[in-house]
Amino acid sequence: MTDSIERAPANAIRAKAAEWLVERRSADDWANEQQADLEAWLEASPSHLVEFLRLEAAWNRTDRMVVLRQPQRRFLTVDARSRSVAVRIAAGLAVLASVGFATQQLTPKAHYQTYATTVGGRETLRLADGSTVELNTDSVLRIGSQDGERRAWLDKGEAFFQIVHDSAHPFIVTVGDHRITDLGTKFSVRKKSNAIEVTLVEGKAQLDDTSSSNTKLAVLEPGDVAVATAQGLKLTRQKADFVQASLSWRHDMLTFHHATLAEAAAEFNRYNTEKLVVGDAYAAGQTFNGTLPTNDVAAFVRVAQKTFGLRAVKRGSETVISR
Amino acid sequence: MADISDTDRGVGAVRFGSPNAQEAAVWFVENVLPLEAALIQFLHHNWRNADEVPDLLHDVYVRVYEAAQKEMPENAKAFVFATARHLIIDRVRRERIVPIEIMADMESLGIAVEDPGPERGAIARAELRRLENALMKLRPRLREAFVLKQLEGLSRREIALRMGVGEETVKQYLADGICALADILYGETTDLRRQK
Repeated sequence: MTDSIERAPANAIRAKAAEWLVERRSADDWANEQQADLEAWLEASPSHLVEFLRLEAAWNRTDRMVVLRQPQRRFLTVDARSRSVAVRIAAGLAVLASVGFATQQLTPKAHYQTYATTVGGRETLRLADGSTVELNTDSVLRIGSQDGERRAWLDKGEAFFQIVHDSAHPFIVTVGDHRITDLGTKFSVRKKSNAIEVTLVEGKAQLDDTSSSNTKLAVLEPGDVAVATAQGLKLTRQKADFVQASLSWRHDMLTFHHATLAEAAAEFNRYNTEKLVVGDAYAAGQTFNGTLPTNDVAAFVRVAQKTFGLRAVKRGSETVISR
Repeated sequence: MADISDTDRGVGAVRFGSPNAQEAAVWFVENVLPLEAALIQFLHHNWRNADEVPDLLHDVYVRVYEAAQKEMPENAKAFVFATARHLIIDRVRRERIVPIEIMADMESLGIAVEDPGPERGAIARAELRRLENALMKLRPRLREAFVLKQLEGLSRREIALRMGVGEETVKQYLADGICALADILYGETTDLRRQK
């Protein structure tokens, strides 16, 4: 009920919501029964739900602190944890990340920090060795070291690497069963649901399959686009402007060249919580060229309406485009 | 064919019974919570008993959320302040107190609602600064527990050992910490606005 006379005071509800949230976010194991209890409490009254949502939103914002902070000085070492917490906040030093689920998959020797971006997010990480990594929308990347090698693990999404080459300390990116070893390069890596795509911009990099024994798949040169799936490797050589277009997300733009509306919609959906749905095969098959801002869903809808005469219907957070 | 999938939308802890509830929750977090500082000012201007403002705020949130579950309002800002105005009118009637003149909207109070600008790097830096400032305002023990949990990724047991307290105390620190942080992040007007 909305009537404050008939319910507990707001601060009592808030205290209970905080207790639930802390339990949810800090319990070593969270059983199904606890989840059910929490959901029952939330469903019991919108009074409970709004307080929980508010605290959870604040908590989620602090999750992002680790991402927003640049890993400035301590790239290859784990923070010594000797300085006071307050000093460390002020100094903006990198600290071990708590983001995400990747922690369990680690081998004991690896030290790493985790960086994650939200849908529509993009972050540039400047590493202590002068290398930079640009993390695209909805991505998770771990950066660290193992056995004296510089290492990165792309667990989700897409990243663009500009690596300062050091043959004594190779830079190795692991994506699922594949490994990319820098031989002095700029390259992008994207993890799709069933494929890994590597685009080489400058220099050279070696691509290995690590699923059984290490198998060298290819040495990539500028313009090479390698798409590795469970079935094997497809290697194509592209012109420089195509490669640049595929990296236009680094400037918050999407460039389409003979793209179908379905492909373009899927691209937009990577960057936006407002989703595009292409409703029929006719609409899906229309092709176009163009460059649009990654967050400008409205511009895409206008293209569909004006250029192709399609209908767009907004349904909650979805826009359905069809004939 | 391209794969069009619905990705997770950041309201993580709860499975919602209906898509409407889920959508209302996302909308509430993204569009209503950022209005909190302005809304608190509005309530203070229009309700003479300051002690009751937290309860009024809560009631506005509940009404707004319930309405959004039925039908998503077009304009969050207008809807939230209209709801606050109605709530106050209802209270005034019920409690038969002398009606006060309710301000038309927050514009007449000269309150600016933060509008995220176009430059993403600047937003990210501003957000980091805001979060760090908010953390610095917490009581030292609450801050320490929160930083160990959120920035260092320590478990409850590790935090307890590090701080020399029991796990129950750590839980209490974290609970008090997140309540204070939410008040600072959503409820306090920013320095920018104060200068105006």
